[in-house]
Amino acid sequence: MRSKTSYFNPTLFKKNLTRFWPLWGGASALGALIPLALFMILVEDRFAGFGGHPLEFTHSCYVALCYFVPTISLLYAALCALAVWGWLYNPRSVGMMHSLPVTRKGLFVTNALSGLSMMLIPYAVTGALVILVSLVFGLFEPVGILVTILGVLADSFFYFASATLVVFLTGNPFAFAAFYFIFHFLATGAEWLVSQLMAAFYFGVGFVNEGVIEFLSPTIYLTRRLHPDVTYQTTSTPDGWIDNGVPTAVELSNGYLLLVYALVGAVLLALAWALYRRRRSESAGDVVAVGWMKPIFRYGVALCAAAAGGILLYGVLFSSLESGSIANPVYMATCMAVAGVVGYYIASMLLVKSLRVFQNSLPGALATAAAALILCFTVAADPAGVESWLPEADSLESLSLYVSGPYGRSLGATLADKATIQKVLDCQAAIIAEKDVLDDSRGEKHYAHVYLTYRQNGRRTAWRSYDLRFTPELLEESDALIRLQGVLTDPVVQEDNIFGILSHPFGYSDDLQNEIRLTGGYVGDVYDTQTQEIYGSDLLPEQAKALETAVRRDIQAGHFGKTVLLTNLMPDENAYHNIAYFGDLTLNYTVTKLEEGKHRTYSRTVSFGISVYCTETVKALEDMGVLDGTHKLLTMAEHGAQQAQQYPSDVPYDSPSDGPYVSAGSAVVYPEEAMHGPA
Amino acid sequence: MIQVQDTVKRFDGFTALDGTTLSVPAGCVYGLVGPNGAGKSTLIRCLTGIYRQDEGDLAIDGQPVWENEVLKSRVAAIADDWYYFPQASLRDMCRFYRGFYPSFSMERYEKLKEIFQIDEKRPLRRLSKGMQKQAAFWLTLSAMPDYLVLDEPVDGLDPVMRRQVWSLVLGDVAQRGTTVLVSSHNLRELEDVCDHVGILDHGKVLLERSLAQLQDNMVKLQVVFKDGGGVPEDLNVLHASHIGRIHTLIMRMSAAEAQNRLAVYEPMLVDAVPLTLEEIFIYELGGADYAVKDIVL
Repeated sequence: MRSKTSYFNPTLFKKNLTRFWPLWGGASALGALIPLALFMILVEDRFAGFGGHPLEFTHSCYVALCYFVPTISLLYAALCALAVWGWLYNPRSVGMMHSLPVTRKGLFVTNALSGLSMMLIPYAVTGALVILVSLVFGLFEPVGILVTILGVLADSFFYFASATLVVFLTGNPFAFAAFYFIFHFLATGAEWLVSQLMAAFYFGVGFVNEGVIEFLSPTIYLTRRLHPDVTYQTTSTPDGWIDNGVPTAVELSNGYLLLVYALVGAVLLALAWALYRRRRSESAGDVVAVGWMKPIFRYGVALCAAAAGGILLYGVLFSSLESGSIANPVYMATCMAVAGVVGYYIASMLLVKSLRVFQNSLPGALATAAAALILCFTVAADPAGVESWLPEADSLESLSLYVSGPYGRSLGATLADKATIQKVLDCQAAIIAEKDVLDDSRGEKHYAHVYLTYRQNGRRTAWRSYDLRFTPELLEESDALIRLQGVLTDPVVQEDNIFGILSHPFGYSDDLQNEIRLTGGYVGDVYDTQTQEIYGSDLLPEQAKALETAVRRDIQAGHFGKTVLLTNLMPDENAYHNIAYFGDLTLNYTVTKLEEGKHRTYSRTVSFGISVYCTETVKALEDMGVLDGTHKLLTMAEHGAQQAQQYPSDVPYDSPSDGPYVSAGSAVVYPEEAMHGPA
Repeated sequence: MIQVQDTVKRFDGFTALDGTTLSVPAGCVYGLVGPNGAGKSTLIRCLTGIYRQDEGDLAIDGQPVWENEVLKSRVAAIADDWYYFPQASLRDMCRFYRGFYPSFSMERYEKLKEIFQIDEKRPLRRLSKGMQKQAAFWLTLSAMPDYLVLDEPVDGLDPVMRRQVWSLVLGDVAQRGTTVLVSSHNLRELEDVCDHVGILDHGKVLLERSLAQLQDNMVKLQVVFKDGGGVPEDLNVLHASHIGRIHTLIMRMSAAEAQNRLAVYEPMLVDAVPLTLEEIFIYELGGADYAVKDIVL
């Protein structure tokens, strides 16, 4: 007779919850601090006269759901899984639990429900108190609360399921912690390793974080893809400015991902059950509890060690022998083989829990070394042509260019004009062709940093980053550097460099027609030779217009961009400081945007530095009376000398914020490329 | 009745049970003996559903043990390394066991309080090894199992408590017909409580018989041969030793048969002495190349 089997054991469930109450109790107590803090903030707001809005409250809930719940769940799920499944890691407890009159299915279901309960209790406590606070302050919004609850449920289920799967793959808590971390960040880590290896061999190719397989690292993927979208009410005011304080709708963008991950969680839990059915009780204490996982672990660790350890070893031992940024394949292959074999033996030691792994291990170690050598030489040979790859100009939606020189004078532009894009691509082709000359760290030199981003269909698709060695001789002889100088002074490039913010005042995804009005300007750091004082001068709209016209004439004449590659290696050792003016010029604009039938007006500021080459601009300032015989702009060198004379004890400083930059409102916004430069 | 048929259990290439076959009659106390590493604990773990055998059958009352929740509610076990939750007291463990074993008797639990003088509220980890063992017996006997599987059960118990727990176990056997499978190296003790014995070596059962049959199948004789002669070479003995003229012979046969065989040599003295279980164990395993070796260090 064999009947009456139960899939849920209330005694075990109760025991789990009572045994581990400090875990979920502590988490609940910590969680309860959030509504408490919220309560205090809302009380303070009420005293200050702010009423709050239910949708703002929903927005806060979504922010928590998008950015905090995944990370918290990642860590907390590991603790809950260890609590309810930890007995699997101890042979004595495994013996006791499996000798009890309960089937493995009963143990699995009961423990899984216990763990999920432990996961959800703190969220339930926090959520209930948050709802209470929202009701007290009249901020309750049922849809937002419901979506948040469902999101938390999905997150919790997925993370607990993933932790449960890892429990059944491993045989001790240390292995669990390592595997759990690997499980959640393997994809990103592997992408990082591959790109590091490519960066070691390919000129201009660096860390790639395109997120092609980022979905396999759910915490990163969720925090990047999941976000709240708020729509604000727009109201006209008598002076034309728009007040936008009241939200009209809040949506959870990409919220479907939570459902997808919850479904994935169900699959992971099913896999965990399949592993448990086949799991041998005697695997308690092992690093890897599943037989077929052992070779994967052994050679996976070996491969990762070969890549990571090889790069590290090469950096320590051989990087000083390099003449450029490209690694020597033979040395790198040797380092990778050594690191791979070390990794192989470490993995073997972990698997057998013994240091005696060398007997009969030669074939495996040799296979690892051979695989490391093949991997290294294959990557170094660049069979896919990654280093020399150039996109077709016609295939690009835009190309972003950022160039900085030795003194920080920089250029940033986003180009859509195909001819100009082709000009930049031709320059890049020349850079690649001359990599042996330009990627050379020997001798006296300066570097220009060139960073290119190619966009297709509105998203960044690839980038290249070059550090180019240059000398005065190379600037005249190198085809690549000559082309680069041509790009730097190109009117289309400089127009976007200085006035680009006006073309896309709300980002590159915004294709609305905007009305732009020049409202004034400012000339900074004008020197009065009589009083020996430095002052700033405001410009009227017509003066600003004249200045803008003059600047555009200088751009067309190729006067801008000439100072980027100036160095102290020039015949004039102080070339840059003698040519670049110290002060910045500023032009102020208003941009009126048509949104949902109403106009909203924003301020935008264009600020840039000039040099003695910008004759039209200087002449315009003279024509409008800002500059004359006694009022002049100071070059860097003159400014330094003036400062030294005025403040003898101060050390004259070298370079202020002299790169072109634009600002939105009061906040300085550097060109996008500067923000996205390589880490 | 516990039946183990051609059971094989391997661990990473090592065969712990190698075609083990044994049978424990219902209502008997079966002593499972064998050298270290013979496979006794592995067999017990298979019988209690901890391990799943790779080959063969394990059945209790004709039902397979593996994942049989109903059957396992009638089987209680005390492992040699009995586990309890680290923070738990005896009372906590009692509540836990009670939730799993439908036949758990609180009445018996309360009665046993008189025998096992243990503070129920004290964490088990703070108890001595012997007291933890007592706690294990207390809970297991309260579960009122039909089958009791014990692995080195009285290790750590003082002589009085040993007698006490055996008395309780044998009481259950007599009153409730409990079947007991006990693995131990304490053969003197097993001799007192077991009615059946199985000897396990290298994962195989060398022999299993009732204790009476076992003692009947092997004999220890003290013999004095005529003219001070030695043991005749054609006499099939398992072990022979002598002190002066008195030879001690171990022979695998009944006492009557051995005396008949020796009669041919007209010995001056033949005296049959009963064998202890320990001696049977030693001489049986001596035949299986497991004997006390005289090594000069």
